Amino acid sequence: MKNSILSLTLILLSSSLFAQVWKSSENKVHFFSEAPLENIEATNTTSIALYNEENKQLAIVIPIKGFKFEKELMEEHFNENYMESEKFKNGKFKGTLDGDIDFSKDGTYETTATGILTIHGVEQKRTIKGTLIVKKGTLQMQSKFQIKLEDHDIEIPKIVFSNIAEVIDVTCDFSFKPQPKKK
Amino acid sequence: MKQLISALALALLFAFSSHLSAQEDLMSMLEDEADANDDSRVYATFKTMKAVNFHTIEMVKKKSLDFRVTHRFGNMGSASGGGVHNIWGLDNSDDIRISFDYGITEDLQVGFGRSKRNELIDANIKYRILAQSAQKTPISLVLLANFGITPKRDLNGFYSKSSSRLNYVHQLIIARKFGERFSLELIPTHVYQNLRIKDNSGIDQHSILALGVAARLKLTQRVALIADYAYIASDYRRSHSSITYQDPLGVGVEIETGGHVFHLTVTNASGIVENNFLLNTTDDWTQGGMKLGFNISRVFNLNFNGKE
Repeated sequence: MKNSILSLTLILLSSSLFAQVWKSSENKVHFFSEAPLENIEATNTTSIALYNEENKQLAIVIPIKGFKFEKELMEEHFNENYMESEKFKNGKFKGTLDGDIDFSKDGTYETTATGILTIHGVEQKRTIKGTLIVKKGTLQMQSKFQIKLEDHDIEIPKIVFSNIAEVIDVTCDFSFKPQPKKK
Repeated sequence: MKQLISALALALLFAFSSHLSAQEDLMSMLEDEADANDDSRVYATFKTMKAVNFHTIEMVKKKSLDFRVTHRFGNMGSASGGGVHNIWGLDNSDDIRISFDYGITEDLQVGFGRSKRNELIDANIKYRILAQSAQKTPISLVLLANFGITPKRDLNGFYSKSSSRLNYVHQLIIARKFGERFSLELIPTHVYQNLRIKDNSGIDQHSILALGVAARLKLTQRVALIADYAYIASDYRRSHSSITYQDPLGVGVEIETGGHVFHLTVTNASGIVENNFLLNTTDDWTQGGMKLGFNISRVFNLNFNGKE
């Protein structure tokens, strides 16, 4: 009796010990929008991502206020008028990585992640293509995809319409490290 | 033995529950972490560097030049010289100011302007000491100094000493944005005038203290209400027998049209610059002494180092 409980506990514990959780270290999220008057682009290095190998769950949080623009005024408009970053603080992705990837072997894998992309408080189910690079115990995820402004209820007033493209190109680059076990 | 089993069961439960909740709360954990890391400045406490009459803590952005024309029509009420024959003041102009302000850094701005009232030429410098941030700093602090000189013709012998033409305004602007919609600021102000008038009501002071308060309430994405008021702590002004000095009170609507912030205001302030309206406001709201005002502002980005 005693032994069986002990072994059961051990099995359970070990299974959760074995599955690696990866946490982002360096990261860069960039968006670009080409427009007749001026291109609009910003870079964010304040995002956080977690990937759980065991259940293939991927969670990414991108603080909207972390986007830095060349022009300060543009940054203020982005936060105040378009993204409403006080109300909708973060862009989010919560989903799972598709396919089977062996994280113990070095290599480059083309894959997709399927889940809910939340921007401006509006959820969209998306499958996003990306590249996964496993190299010497590190993990890197890269992805390039598009976001349609109207999908996320981001309103651009008619007067400044020519200023901003309706579709934004987003580039993500996340480096992960195995997360040390807590407790 | 029993104790051991229950201890193990407890451990088991723990392992399980932490395991489960880890999945559910993954996102909220990440969001909490992002919140804790957030040291960004609070945006748009006010939308532009002026409320109705008073300066706000906002500045022209770095390497940008703000050119503005501010206009105050004449008094609306017929008791104060308005009425139907000059379309409630629209035929008159109480004050007109043309100004240029330039952002040297994110936290330092210089500007100069010229007003119709007293033909005042003013030069100001504005410096941000503290910026309200998401986590650490609860308020913003800005210092403002404005130097004014009037080149008016000396008809009454007021300016026999040329130093009498000078006056100075010093302000500490304390502001906080409360949540997403409401911002408030307190503006302790010191005015120094070289010229002081002596008349039946006594003698004016060189140094005058005032306390201003300004607020902004955002109604929609592009429209906000603005208001400001100042209590002027001057015995000479508050007890004057023949001139009814008034505290300036202004209200307005702020409309943002993407790159341009338009103000439509109503105020009893006489003059657009602090150096004028803090000293000389005599128009009374209750006597129809308020005037319609607006400003046109155009911001030029002079940052040529960056990409095209």
